[in-house]
Amino acid sequence: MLSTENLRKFFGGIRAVDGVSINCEQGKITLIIGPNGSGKTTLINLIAGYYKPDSGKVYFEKEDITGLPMNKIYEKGIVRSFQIPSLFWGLTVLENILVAARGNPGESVMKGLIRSKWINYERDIVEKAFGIMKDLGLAEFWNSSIEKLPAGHLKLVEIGRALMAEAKMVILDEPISGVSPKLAHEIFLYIKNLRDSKDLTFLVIEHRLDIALPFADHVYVMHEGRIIFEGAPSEVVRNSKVREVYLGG
Amino acid sequence: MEELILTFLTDLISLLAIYFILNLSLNLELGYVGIPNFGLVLAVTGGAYVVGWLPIRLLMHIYAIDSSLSSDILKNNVIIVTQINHYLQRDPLIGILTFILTLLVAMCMGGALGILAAYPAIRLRSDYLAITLLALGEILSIIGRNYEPLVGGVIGIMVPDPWSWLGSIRFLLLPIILLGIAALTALFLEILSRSPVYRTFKAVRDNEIAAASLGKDIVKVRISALVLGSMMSGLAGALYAFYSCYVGPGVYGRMEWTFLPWLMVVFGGLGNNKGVLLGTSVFIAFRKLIIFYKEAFAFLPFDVVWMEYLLLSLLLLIIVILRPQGLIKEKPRYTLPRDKLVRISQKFHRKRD
Amino acid sequence: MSWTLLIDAVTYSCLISLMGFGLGFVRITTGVWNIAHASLVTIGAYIVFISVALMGGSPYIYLPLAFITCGFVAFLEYITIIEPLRKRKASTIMMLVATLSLDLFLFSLLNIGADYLQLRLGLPSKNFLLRSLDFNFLEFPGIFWSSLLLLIFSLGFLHYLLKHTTIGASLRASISNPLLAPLIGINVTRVNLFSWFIAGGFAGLSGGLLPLWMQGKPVLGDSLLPVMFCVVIVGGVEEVFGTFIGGILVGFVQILLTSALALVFGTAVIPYKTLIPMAILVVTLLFAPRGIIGIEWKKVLPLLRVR
Repeated sequence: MLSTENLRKFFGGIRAVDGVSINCEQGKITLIIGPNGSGKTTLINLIAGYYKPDSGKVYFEKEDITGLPMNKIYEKGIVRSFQIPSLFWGLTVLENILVAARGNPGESVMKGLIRSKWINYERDIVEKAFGIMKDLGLAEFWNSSIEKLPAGHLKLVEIGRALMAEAKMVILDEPISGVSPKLAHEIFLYIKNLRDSKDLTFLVIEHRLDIALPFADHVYVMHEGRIIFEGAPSEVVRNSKVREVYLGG
Repeated sequence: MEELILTFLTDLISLLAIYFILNLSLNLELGYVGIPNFGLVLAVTGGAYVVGWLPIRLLMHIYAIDSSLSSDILKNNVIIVTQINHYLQRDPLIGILTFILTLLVAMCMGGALGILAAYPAIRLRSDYLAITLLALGEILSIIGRNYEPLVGGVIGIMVPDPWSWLGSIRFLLLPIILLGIAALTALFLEILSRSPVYRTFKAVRDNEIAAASLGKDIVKVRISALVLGSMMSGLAGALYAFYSCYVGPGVYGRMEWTFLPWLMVVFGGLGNNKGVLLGTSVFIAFRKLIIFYKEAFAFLPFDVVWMEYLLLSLLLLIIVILRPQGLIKEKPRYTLPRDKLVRISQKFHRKRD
Repeated sequence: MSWTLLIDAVTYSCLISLMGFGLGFVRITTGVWNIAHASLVTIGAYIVFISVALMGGSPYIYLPLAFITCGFVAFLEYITIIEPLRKRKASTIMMLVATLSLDLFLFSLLNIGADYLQLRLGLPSKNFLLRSLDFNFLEFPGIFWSSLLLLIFSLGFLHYLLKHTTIGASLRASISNPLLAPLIGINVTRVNLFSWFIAGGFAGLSGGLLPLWMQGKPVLGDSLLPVMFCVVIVGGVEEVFGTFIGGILVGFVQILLTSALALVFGTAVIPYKTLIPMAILVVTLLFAPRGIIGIEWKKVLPLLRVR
């Protein structure tokens, strides 16, 4: 569904992403792992339109989406979450999630003034938002302002937003960092359910292999801007290069 | 005495209405979308200049004022306007139409200046944007002050009074009309703030990267906010020009039309219209009261107007340090009524059990 | 090109460089745009004026007084307003609003003072000019020499301060890495207080010189604020000495361009001369927001050469 071809991004002398080609199959959970600074987030930023690649291409559903701006990437059906929660600080949890809704007719100033044009849509997305919040254990916080939420919950709102976006592909950047193991496990179960029931495609960056690995369908290992290994989760742990890079031999 | 109080009140209400509209525009730009418009004076001046330029020429033509006079509008300004007003005293229809038409043109002018200001707004952030907008406002100020054919240069120009036909009750009725226009503007913003637009605006304000990653067109949002806001500021400037029947460059300075609105809006509370109303009322009332009791302050060896600035700026400093969100805090505004949302949330709570 | 034009250009450039320096300096060291800087300039002008009016003598002898007083006011501003806001991680815009309020506060105080002086002491405090008290040297007005000398001296002083003193080293450290500086033992508050004092001092100094060249009134500093912004931004906000380059550039362009335009279009263009720095400011912010210093000349020059 999503594939990249030899993506490169250099920052001065730093080769953040150095010729990365990956392929995410539809309806599968693709996991990218690697030590800090290996370029995982930069790769995501390239795919999501935050950076323009110095060279290389990104394809989504056979279409070239290289270098498109972020809001266009969203329109194509890709949504991403952020490693450091990038929430809307002045809004409540519910509002944060509602922003993610796709194709809201009430968002243009002209149509926004005419209530009838968007009121039914709003009712639907509010129900949907509550459903997502409930699944993530956020329902009681719907009216809380983001500033007052405990840190772990911020991650959940990030994820909730991504799920609300009705995307074809969801990119999660370290969705469970700072989250308790039990909740982390639940989140991945939830992701797996979504993959199974709605045929969503996921691309996940994670550090915590103990939790993430069992759920992955395909794994890429990055190191110093390059893919050093790809394969099934079971193969990854056994690979010597990976062990060296990740676990110090 | 009664008359004095009446004049005081009507002037207070008129200024309140005009500044309320202006402050609502700043709230839209700064409070909703986070655009620090230090160049408010740009659109205000634009709107005022339309009033200085259009009605006199339009009405001169309609009433076929002596062409020898019209050759130098500036020099014969007073005579021309006096003649026009004379006709307007008996012609409410033309008066009202001129008023509405000029206001519409002023709003368009404001919008056009908003687009001009939007260009830097797309590329620049916070303080740099603030400074650019400040500079743009300065530029128009300088041009208006020196380019005489526009609005009479330093001396300024008189404006025909489209409400002349109201005669003796003009001073009572005009404030009410202004208040009505202000109320309409506030209503417009209220409707907007109960729609998804509000959420989108605030999302762009709070975290534009995240907003873009969720499909929001940041550029379009900023342009919309600035154009709308500038139309409102243009309206405020035009109304003030009509109210004072005069347009002069000294009147539309940075202090009164950019810095003071900032004080009023920050003081009252950014991001919500009630706060804007509160801030505007407090400041305007304070100002009028000090001027009203000028005689009582005559013992002071300085112009009492400065005491107003002194106290208000001190007040704002205290607010910024102690309560930066302003007097009235921003509250979430949902598109659906609150009780409906509570019902929905309970539905999901129950599902859990 | 006549001598008077050159004199004007040099004097004006030096004055606006000295004025803009303080604004840029606190921006670099603490990240704050201090709008109250405008009033500090005005305070400097008034200190010199009042001293001359009450105690006589040349305006120049009161410049150190202006420096110290305005430095002290800036010092107070930092302690009472800026530091508390910084501790609370207030946004850039909030800081701007705070300095703006202080500017208005000082502006009203200045007006009140000026009113009082005019009323009770009969001084022309709302509109004064000290040019007559200036000296002449080699047929050039004293202000030309003094502003130029002060500029050169300031450059030297700053260079020495930054490169050869411990406080200067601390300043440079906290400029280049504000997060790391406290971790290596630099007392950031003390460094900031010092930089604000210096900046305020320069505001007072330049303000003290102004009445020798142009009309002094309560709105003096505020009327020049847009030019000060221009000087700082054109020069480059990231480099301490950038403001001086900006001042010279803007000053020369404004004076010379106005004169050139007047030759072509007549004297009617003269009132528009204040448009020039504004236009430069807008263009700079849109196309080179990091100023002259910030432009990557290595990339730009080859483009310019293609003719």
